Amino acid sequence: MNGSVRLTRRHLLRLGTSFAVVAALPTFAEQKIELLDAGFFRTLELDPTEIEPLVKKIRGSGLIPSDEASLKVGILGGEPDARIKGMSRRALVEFVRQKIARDFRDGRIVIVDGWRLSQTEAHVWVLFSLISSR
Amino acid sequence: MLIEHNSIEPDSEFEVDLCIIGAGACGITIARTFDNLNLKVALLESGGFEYSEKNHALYSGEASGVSDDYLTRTRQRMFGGTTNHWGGLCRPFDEIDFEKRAWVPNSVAWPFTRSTLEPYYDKAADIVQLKRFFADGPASRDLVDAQCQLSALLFRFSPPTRFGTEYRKELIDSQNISVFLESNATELSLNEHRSAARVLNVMASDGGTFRIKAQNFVLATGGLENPRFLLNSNAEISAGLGNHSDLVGRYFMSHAPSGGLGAVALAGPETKTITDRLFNPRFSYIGIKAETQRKLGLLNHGIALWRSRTEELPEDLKRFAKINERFSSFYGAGETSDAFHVVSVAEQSPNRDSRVSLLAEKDYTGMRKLRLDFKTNTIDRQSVAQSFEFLAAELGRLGHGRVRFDFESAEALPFDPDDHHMGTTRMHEDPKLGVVNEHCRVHGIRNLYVTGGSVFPSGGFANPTITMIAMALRLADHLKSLS
Repeated sequence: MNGSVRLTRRHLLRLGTSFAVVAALPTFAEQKIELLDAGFFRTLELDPTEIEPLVKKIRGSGLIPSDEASLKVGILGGEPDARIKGMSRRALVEFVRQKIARDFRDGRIVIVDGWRLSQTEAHVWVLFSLISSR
Repeated sequence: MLIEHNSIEPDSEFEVDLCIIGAGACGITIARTFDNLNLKVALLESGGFEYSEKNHALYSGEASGVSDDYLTRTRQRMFGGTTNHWGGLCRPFDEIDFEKRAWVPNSVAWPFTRSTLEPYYDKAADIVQLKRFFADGPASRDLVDAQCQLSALLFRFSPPTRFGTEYRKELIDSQNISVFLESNATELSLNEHRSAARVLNVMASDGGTFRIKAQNFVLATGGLENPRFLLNSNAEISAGLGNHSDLVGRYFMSHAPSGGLGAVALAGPETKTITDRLFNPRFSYIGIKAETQRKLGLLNHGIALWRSRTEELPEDLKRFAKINERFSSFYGAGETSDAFHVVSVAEQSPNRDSRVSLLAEKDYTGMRKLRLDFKTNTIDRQSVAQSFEFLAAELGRLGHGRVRFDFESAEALPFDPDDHHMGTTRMHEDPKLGVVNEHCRVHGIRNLYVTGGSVFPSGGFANPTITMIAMALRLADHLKSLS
């Protein structure tokens, strides 16, 4: 052994595969967005039509963005990328729950039909509606 | 014993140890504690055992800021007083209600803390046929746990005790208590030094007059009539008795009960805990803990969750509750939920211009009628709105539910006074700040006492009757200690 690294064919194959995976990965912001796709809501047993009247009002208020990317950024906003990276769906649900709690604590509230909702949960409702309508 | 007013010789004079003017909850309570003692007691009541329009009409006057019939609808001028129509809702005032609060305009501390009244609250509970508050457990507890800044504030329901019927026989059978019905106290005159009350002038409903001399007098005619009587008794002191600092009649306060202010959709694992603490086995209001009231500069406030037993919840509320439940479940909190309308009872802060004064017009007894000007402070409505905001934030923060507001702004909130009349002869050790001292004795008059809600420097949010009775029992102890 002379300290050099000998790359076998197998190593080269692995390395090539890794480069391919990295190249195929979306940018990190996009990765965050992907975490909030349809799979995120898979355990939410709610008929989207039930929430539609309230979502219309949230949209009508102009306080919450209406495009998917902005909604997702709004839900995850402020969180260090490193923390989001690798979160399981379950952990992300818990992250959102805690963010809603912080919204109430810190007064980040939106009013919908008189109901006091957290800004994050209003984003979540609109996103759910948007994704469900696809 | 009962003294029939039409059997009294014109211009008779009675001499007793204690003369109690007014046979409502407080007057009857004090009188009963003197039963079988070697002291003569006169208990005067303007009305009779039954309602009479003629007697009730003596309540008429003028009012602003309240409904037209407020002066007559909210009181009962008959034996037993307003307990003849009270709902029986009882809860001791909270400790913070006894404190001076820097953020409340015109706030003064009570001369003692709640602990002074606690033994009397338990005795008062016996009188209104309730389990005791303090001997049988705390009157407040956490709504959920210590980290939640909301409390479950226990109320108890008296049957309700109608003092005029419940305690009538006992008083009539008493050998040392004389009950005078249809007897209107019209003026109290002082001795030559103006330092003591000397003789009470009385006019019966048939126009006959008589007098009562007493060692001590207790005025127990309610939060509107107490100041009216003191202001009318102005033969020796033109401003009226106890009005040395222009405080008699001022700082009139009530409570503001309001329905239709919003809704609450509970969800999550604590839903049952919350509903159990509010409804089982007894009824509680949601309150905001004292430390948060201090931090946010709030008045005291009770929020009741309410749902009709017979009517379904409105569709929009049901729909929201379902959405809220599903999201709560989504976040891992389980599928339990409940929804309610909200009823609110708000404390009113003291306002110097909220007051009872006298009209020039007199009633048939020769007493000037009263005028009530009901006024609020900006904080009264603001505090209700802020309390709702805090409720929404706290339930939201802890994942217990969501709150709907059915009002646009604090300014739009109703603040209609309840049948509770307080503050008009406020209690303070300093004669510049109070009409009566810590023993409810009128400053400067050594034998005239006032009892009832009129002596409360602040009114909290809880119904006042049990506190009035506790205070009356305390006064009775003081009077006995003098003899």
